[in-house]
Amino acid sequence: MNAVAASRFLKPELLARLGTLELVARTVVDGVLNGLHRSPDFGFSQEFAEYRAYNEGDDLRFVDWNVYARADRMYVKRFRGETNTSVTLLLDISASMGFGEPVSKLDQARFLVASLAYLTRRQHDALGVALFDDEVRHFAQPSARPDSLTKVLGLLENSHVGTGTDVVDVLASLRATITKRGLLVLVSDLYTDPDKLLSALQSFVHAGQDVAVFHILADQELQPDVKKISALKSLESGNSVIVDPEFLRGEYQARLQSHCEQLENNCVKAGADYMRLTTGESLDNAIVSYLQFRERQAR
Amino acid sequence: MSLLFPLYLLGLLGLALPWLLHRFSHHEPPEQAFPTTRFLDPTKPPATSKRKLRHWPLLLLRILFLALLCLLFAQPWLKADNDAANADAVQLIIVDNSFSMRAGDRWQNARNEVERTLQSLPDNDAVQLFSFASQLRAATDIVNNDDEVNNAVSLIEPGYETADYGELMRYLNKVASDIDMPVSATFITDAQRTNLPAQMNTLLANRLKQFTVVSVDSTTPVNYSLRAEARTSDAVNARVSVRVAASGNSDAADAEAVSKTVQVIVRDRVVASEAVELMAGESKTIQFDEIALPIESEALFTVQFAQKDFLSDDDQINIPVHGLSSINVSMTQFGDSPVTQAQVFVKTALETNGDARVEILDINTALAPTVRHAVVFVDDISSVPEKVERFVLDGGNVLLLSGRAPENASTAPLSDSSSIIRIDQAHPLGLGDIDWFNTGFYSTASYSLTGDDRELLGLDSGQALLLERDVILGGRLLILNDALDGFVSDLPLQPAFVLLMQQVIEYFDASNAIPSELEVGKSLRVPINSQVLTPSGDPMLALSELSSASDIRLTEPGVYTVLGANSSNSVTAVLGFAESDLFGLSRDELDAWEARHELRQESQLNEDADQQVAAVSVEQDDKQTLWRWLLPAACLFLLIESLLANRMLWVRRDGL
Repeated sequence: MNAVAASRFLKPELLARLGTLELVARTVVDGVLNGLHRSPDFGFSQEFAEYRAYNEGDDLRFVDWNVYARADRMYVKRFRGETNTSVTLLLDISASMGFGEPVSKLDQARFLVASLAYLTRRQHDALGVALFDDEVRHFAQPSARPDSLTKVLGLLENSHVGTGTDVVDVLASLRATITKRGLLVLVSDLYTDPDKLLSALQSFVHAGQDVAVFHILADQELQPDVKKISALKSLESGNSVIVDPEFLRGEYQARLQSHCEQLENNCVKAGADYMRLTTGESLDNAIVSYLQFRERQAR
Repeated sequence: MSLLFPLYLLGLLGLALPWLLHRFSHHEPPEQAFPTTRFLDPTKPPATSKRKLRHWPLLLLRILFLALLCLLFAQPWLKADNDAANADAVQLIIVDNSFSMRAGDRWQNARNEVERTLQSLPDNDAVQLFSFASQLRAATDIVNNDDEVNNAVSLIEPGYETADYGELMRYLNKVASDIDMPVSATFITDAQRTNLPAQMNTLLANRLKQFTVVSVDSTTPVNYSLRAEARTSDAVNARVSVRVAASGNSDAADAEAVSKTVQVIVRDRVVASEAVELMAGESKTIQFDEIALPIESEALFTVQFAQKDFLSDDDQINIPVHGLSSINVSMTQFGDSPVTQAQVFVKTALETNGDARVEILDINTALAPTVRHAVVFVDDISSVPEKVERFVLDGGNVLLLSGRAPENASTAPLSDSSSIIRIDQAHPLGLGDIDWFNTGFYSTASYSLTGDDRELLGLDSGQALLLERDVILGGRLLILNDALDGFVSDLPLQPAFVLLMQQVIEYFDASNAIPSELEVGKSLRVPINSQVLTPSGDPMLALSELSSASDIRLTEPGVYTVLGANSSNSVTAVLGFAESDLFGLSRDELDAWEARHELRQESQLNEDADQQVAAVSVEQDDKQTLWRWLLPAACLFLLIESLLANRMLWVRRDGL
């Protein structure tokens, strides 16, 4: 991914004016792929990858009998992608995701999820989605049917901010539902305990899921624009806290930074991929990061 | 700076309100949405419990605005720069410059008295000099400089106007009420008895601290004056009536008759003279008949005493001859049968005193456009002919008469007559002044009043005798419900008929009504597009003033000429008889006049003062109101406050 290509991508506030999420997804994904000048089908086509010596237990269907005839040894053919992967996108629609101007965290997250969904269907993977706040509000099982993208985009279009958030509980409840091995992409502002998130993610990773976490933050959240003592009211709990601008410029930002670093570390510990995305950034970095993540998982 | 309503300053107590609001208001910080409060720590409360004033500029603006508002209601004003500001009191010196002050050495005495009065005044008192004849006129501002007053006195000359001491006191009251310090007045006058007002209680100015009358009249000699009128009925000879009067007290023991010779002069030649003996306080009228008019149509007669007395200006009068131009009236008839007898009655009545000249037109002859007044006989007065209506709408005046007796006139019993019982006293015709006694009406045509008719005379039979029809933007239309044949009524045979006809013609001619005689000092109402020439022939109105009606004060005696578009009228400005009577008030009476003010001071100084000074205007305004400065300043403060408060949106309007 080069910087020149990335500069061609559209800013989130511009994407917000494109209308439908499908158009947003096409614009983002096609832009990214054109910039890479590479095929998007990393590892999931029927492309030959390598030979490997036959071991006991290997499926005899993949033995290359021509090589056996010539070399009198049994080799198994490896392909980059033998089967379609199941991709489940988890989108946080809690009240805190409604923060941010002119593009809220939820807007940015929906753009991202829509783009990933479009990319997934382009790679002929099964696509599923779950929208949640403090519990799962909408869930669609991963499906490789042609209309799965339309269904997911429809859910995203009609999604609105909910109430509180509890990522850990939601992940715990989905653990029993998502049984098929595949990719799990979590898009959230992650206002939760990093340690509990670690254990929640580990349970998925241990179950064979490949997990990617997109941490969405608003620019005004990172550097609050408050010039005088103000009462900051939580979007989720409704509680107000009177804070000094000086605190917001110093202590608050340190705490947030620490939280983010802890989240990233815990994700790495859990074997999940961590990517931070703000509402002011274009989606190209996130898409590229996702593709790299897919590539890594395919090896 | 003074305040007209200082009680409004109590509103300044309200200044504490914005201060309290800013000082003790509970300030809630503005609220903003935030995704989560998990990383936020509440700000610690201030270590000090002392409350701070917030938004200083806004508080200052609000306090200033309230203060300005209070000041505006209190109506502050500044005294214009004058010497009164440093004085203890103001002394008003009023010099009587009415006509009687021309007698003998009265005016010189008055000037000396002004000088003497100035010397006797306290050094710290400011002085203002006025002259008074029919109006009070300021000759100086309020000054501390005696020379300025002396110079002003030398510029004042006695005029020809008539003084009224009651009016003087009203003017003085008004002047004193406008001065914000004690005011005393000294009136230097010849103290004529005839200048006293009809109501003696008006001889009081409540606002004055002290009032002094200085009389310049040491003697009260008998003064002789005259008035005259010349009138012609045939434009050949004139009759001159002269009223001669002698002032003074006829009851005096040493009174004896004095012979005065009255002369009538035409073109510098004495054409008639007659001696008359007069006692003090007596008046007589003498008449000169058949004085031949000169060939010039606008000749003036001069009537004078052969020997002038010490007030010579009222010993001679110039008078025009009235009756040279008569009012032209056309008389016509629209109908079948001629009514010659009624026409004779009307023509005779109108031409009796020579003011009108009647031209009788043939039957059914239309009225010429040049005719302004007409007497028209019709068969039925209920329906006004169209020709007559058009004539009236064009501005002509018509007396409409019934040319035919009622059908039952011949059978009506003579003993059964009606008389006039309803008279419109308010109408300018002056019908109430006419004696209608013995005027009987035996048969009157039935006439139904319309909405436009105003009944002026009504009979006890219920019929209307004389009525006026309202014509908008036209001339006047009078309808007389009588055949005037001498049979159906006595009206044409009675003296009242002559008076009625003359009143009608005067009423018709009232559009050009300019009085033939006015007293000097009174105002003459001049019609539009008319010029007024003084007795010496100088025009009084500028060209720009001709386009509107105006009032002109006649300031000197003589014959003024009012030149209209089609006419020329003479107005004789005559001296008031009151000024010719030089009999003065005694010192005891003057003391009583002065004492009224002292008594008033002791009892109640300012009671009812405001009511008495109302409607009196004297051009002396030394107040400068501050409204013009304070009001824009208040508006500016309000604007800035609004801008500031809007800019700082978290600052609520109530200061919280």
